[in-house]
Order: sequence, then structure tokens, then C-alpha cells
Amino acid sequence: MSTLSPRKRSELLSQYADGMIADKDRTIVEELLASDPSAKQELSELLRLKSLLGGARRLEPDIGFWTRLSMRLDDERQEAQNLLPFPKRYIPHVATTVTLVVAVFGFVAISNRMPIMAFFSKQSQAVKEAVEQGVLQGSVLPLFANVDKDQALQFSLFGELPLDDSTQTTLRVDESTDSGYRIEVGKQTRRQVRPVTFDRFVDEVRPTVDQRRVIDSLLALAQERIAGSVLVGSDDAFAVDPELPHLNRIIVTGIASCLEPPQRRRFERLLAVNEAPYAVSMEVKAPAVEPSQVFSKLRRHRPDQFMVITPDTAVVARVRLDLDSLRRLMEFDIQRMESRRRVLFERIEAGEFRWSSRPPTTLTADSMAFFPEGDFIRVEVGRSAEELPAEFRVMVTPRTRERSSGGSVHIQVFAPNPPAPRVREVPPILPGRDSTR
Amino acid sequence: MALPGYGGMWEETARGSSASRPIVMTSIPQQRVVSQPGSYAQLDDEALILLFQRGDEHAYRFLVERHKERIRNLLFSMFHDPAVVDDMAQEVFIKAYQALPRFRFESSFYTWLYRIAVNKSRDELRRRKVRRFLTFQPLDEGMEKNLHDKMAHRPESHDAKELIGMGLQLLPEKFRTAIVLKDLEGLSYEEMAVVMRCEIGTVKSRLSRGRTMLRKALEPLLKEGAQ
Repeated sequence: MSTLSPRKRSELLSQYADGMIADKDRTIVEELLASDPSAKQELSELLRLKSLLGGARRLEPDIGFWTRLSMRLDDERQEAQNLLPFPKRYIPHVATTVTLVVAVFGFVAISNRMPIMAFFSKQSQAVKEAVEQGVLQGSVLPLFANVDKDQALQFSLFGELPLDDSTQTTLRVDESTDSGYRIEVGKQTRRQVRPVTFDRFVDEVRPTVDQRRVIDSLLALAQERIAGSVLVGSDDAFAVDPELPHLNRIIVTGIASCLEPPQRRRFERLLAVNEAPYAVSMEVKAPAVEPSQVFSKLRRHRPDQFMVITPDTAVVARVRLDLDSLRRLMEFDIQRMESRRRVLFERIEAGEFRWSSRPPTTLTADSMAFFPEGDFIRVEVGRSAEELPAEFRVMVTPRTRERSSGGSVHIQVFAPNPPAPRVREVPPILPGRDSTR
Repeated sequence: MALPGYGGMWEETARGSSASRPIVMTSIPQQRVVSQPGSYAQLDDEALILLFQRGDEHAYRFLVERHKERIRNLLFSMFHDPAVVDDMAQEVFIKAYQALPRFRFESSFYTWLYRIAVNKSRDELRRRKVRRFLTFQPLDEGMEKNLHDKMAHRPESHDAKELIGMGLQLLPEKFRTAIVLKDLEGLSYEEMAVVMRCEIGTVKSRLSRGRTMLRKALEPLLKEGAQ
């Protein structure tokens, strides 16, 4: 008996008071109660405690419990159908929190708008550079590296330039569309016209020696510009300067503006007879323009934004091209460069390039669209070519075609007073030419 | 004959007349005769749970009506505060409503319900303890002093039920739960072990220790009564 710890003794008495004691323990407790008055007192208190606990205060029945509970259960069911990531009852709190967060962020953004804009500008520049570096990799080869003076004049006046004497592939610019202009590289489909060589130009327009010097310089610049406007990368990327048609206007304008009025009229006649896509409108007695103005305008434009088309993508990208170095390289290693160009031409002729398998791509932000042609590619630019400054006093425009006149081309020459246009008819455009537009 | 609202789950037995024939729940392996047609009140807890689990949410109302007072009084004994009882009892029955589809009949429904109520009480007491700690409030010193004062000066003049309730509040939660389940709710040791999720030996120990502590707190009252 004496081996019972106080804790064990209390446990046995507690079980005894509950009437749930094992038989062997009951004997122990009964012996304890018989011999120990304190145990008897403890049991008495335990029974008294149980009696008091049994009579402890109870709540009155709640008859409205189910009504209130069913309302909460309905709420729970609706909450289960809630697709929001939080209970609906928190919507006001969440809305308030979101509003506060937006307000704080807005305040911070407005307070620090310059650093933020600089950050994003830097980021977008970085992305742009990454794209640019990725789309035209490796060495590039100008498609028109050895354009001579006759070819430069031919392209400037007529917007067409064959790759080579032995190929049918031609670079064309076409401003006859209503919504902008096109640059095409493809098989020649136009009627072959008698080429306007520089000698023929001199014979018909009859420029003075000084004027010839200016025109020579203009054509030299055109040669350089053509060489840097159409490039092919070693990874089969094709890059074209979308401002290329601007060159035609510059050259035609430059030539026309350095001529005296009688010479201009002869020049316009030469253009019209040979169905040039450009018409020269001029003040009848406008004097010749200083050549420096023409050169400054022509020199100012150096292409850097190119439409780059690869077998995988079509983007407008900045291409840093060191034409001078390229030209020096070509002069230094003319044999190898010519051989590369020859291979390139053969591949183009054979249709080996995969550009034509690319889907049409529209670059809305740049108003440009790329269309694969059957044999090569076409780039459409949805804006007009840049107008030349007014000081030229000579306006070169795409030669318009009136539908009602059965395909005739009209050249409008504006007289200073009265301003009514004088219309002169020129021979109609042949069907073969129409089909390309 | 399928009963309205029973979805064809019930069918007549071969016994009895059509007016008073007992209905057998055929989907339960151990077939039990449970009720007259349409009388939910006469169905036992298990039958009501089966009905609920088969989509008859109306059955849950009878489970609630049957057990709500036990749960309310259990919570009142635990907190001695009528203000918290209603809200907590509703939470207990909402929890039961959510968990009832997964009830596996391994214990009686009211034992299972008590377990939910005890868990809720434990969570609430912990929450209060944290709240007191965060607000630097003393732990039940006011209640203890109040009870001590009443015990010191003629305890027989005070309401014994009130003193018992105050004494219970001074006990730690696990001892309080044991006393409430045994002495107020009348559960057996085995049922208490299920509710408290512990061994029967632990139940006995907690009950004894809780009673010892409560005896000490209410000593004048008990001595006066014992004499």
C-alpha cells in the first residue's frame, strides 16, 4: 500500500469515484480507504466534485440555431462556387488593398518616371540590338557591288537593275501603287527597253561640261548607294534598304535641277519616251539649282534601318555597315568576292534560297510587309517616299496612269501663272509592264 | 415503392402492410429496419448520415437538431461564455457538414462531432492565448483572483454552478476537456480516448490530474459540502 505514489493514488481514487476501476485496483482502493482517512476524505471530495460538475449550469435550448446555421451553410455553398482565390467576403478588403498598391506604385512611378523610362528604353534598346545582332550574322555581300555609271543611271531613271548581264534576276523599285511603294527582287518580267546609257543621255539632253561633272558625281553617289542598299548575309539573310526608292527621286531631281529649262524639257522627253516610272514637274523658267544642295541631301542619307529577311524571320533592324571598308575589301580581294557573288547569283537563279517559302509577314509598326514571290521576294512599304525639299523647285513624282485613257501615261508640267496643268499624252504602257504592278 | 425525396434508395420489405410497412435500406450490407416512410426524426444517426452522403441534405438538419445542445453545452463548459458558444457551435456544424461526405462510420457520429468541437475549442484557446500574449494581458489572473476571493469568504453563499464554471476555466485545456467530457457529458473512457485522440491511460491520468487541480481550486466549497 505504501508503494502507491500520490499521483497513482489519486488516479485510482478518481477511477473508483467513476465506478470504472479494474477489480485488482478496486481491492487496493478499498484497502486504502479502510486504512487511510485522508484517502477517504479525498474520495469524499471527489464525489462532491462530480456531483457539482454533474449539476453544472447548462444552456437553454436554442430553437433558432438551425435557421442561423442554414443561412451560414448557404453562404458556404456559394463560397464553394466562388472562383476567386479568396472568400467573397474579403472582396472589399482586397479591392481596397489593390487600389492602395496601385496608387502607391503609380505615385512611385510618376515620381521616378525619368529613371524608369530610361531603364525601359535601355532594355528595349538592348533587345533591339540583340535582334539586330542575331538576324544578319557573319560577313555580308552587296548584291550590287560593281554598278557602273550606265547601270546607276539606268536604275535611277527606270527603277530597274539586273543583277548581272547573264541573269534574269532584277532589282526593281515601284512607286506606282496607291498606298506606298514596292521593292522587288525577282525575275525580269517587264518589256526590255533600249538601255539609256550615259552617252545616250548626253546625246539627247546635251548637258554642258560642268553639268556633266555634276551628273557624274551624282551617279557616283548612286553607285555607292545602290551597293549599300541590297545585301546578302552568309547565313542567307537578305537585307534591303526600305528607303531605296528615295535614291531614284534624288538622282532624277538632281539631274533635272542642274539642267537649264530647255535641257529639262529634253530630259523629260527622254523619260517619257522610254516609259520611265518618274515624271519631272518643274517651274518652266526655274534656274539650275546649286549642285551642293543636291549632294548634301544625297550624302545625308546613309541607310542603317534595313528590312532583314532570313529563312526564319522578317524584321526591321539596324545594320551597321562600313561600306568604305567593304569596298576596300572588295577591291583588295576582287577575285574572291566576284567568285562569291557568282555563286550567289547562281543560287538565286536556281531558286535555292528559302525566302520564298516564308509566309507573308507584316511589320505594322514600320508600315512594311514582306511577300514571298514565286522566284524571289517583294517588300511593300505602306508610305510614300520622302519628298525632297522645296528649294529644288523640281518635283519628281511617280508617273500617274489614268484608267479612262486606256493605260496612257500623263505627265503634268505646272506653269507658274496660270497654275492650270498642261496635259501631254505619251505612248501607252504595254501589257507586259502592267502585269508587274 | 420509392419514397419521395429518397431517390429510389429505399424499398419495401416483404413484411407488413402498405400503410405501416417498415423500409429497408438495401444499399447497406447489414440490413436495418429504420423508419416509417418520411419520418426523418425516427432515423438513427447512421441512417441520416447515409442519406446525407447520398445527396439528401435535408437529413443534416435532423443531425444538427439532435446534437446541437450537447455541442453547445460542451462549448459552454469549455469557455463559460455564452457569447462565444453560438458562433463556435455553428462553426463546428459547418465543419461537420463539409467533412460528413467523408465520414467512414469508424466511430459514433456524436463522438466524431465532439472531436470536431474539442479541436475547435483547442484552436480558440490557442488563439486567445496568442492574443493575450501579443496584447500583454495577464493569463487568467482576474478569473483566478475572483474565484479565490469567493472561496475565501463564505463559498456556500455563492452559486456553486458559477464557482464550478470559474474553476474549470483555470484548468489547462487538456485537463479541462477530460473533466468536461467525463463529468458533464458523461462519456466513457473509451469514447474520451477517441475524442481526445489519446490512450485510455492518458485519459485516466488527465482526468485525475484535472480533478486534483479543480479540488484544490474549489477546496473550501468541497470541504464544506463533504462535511
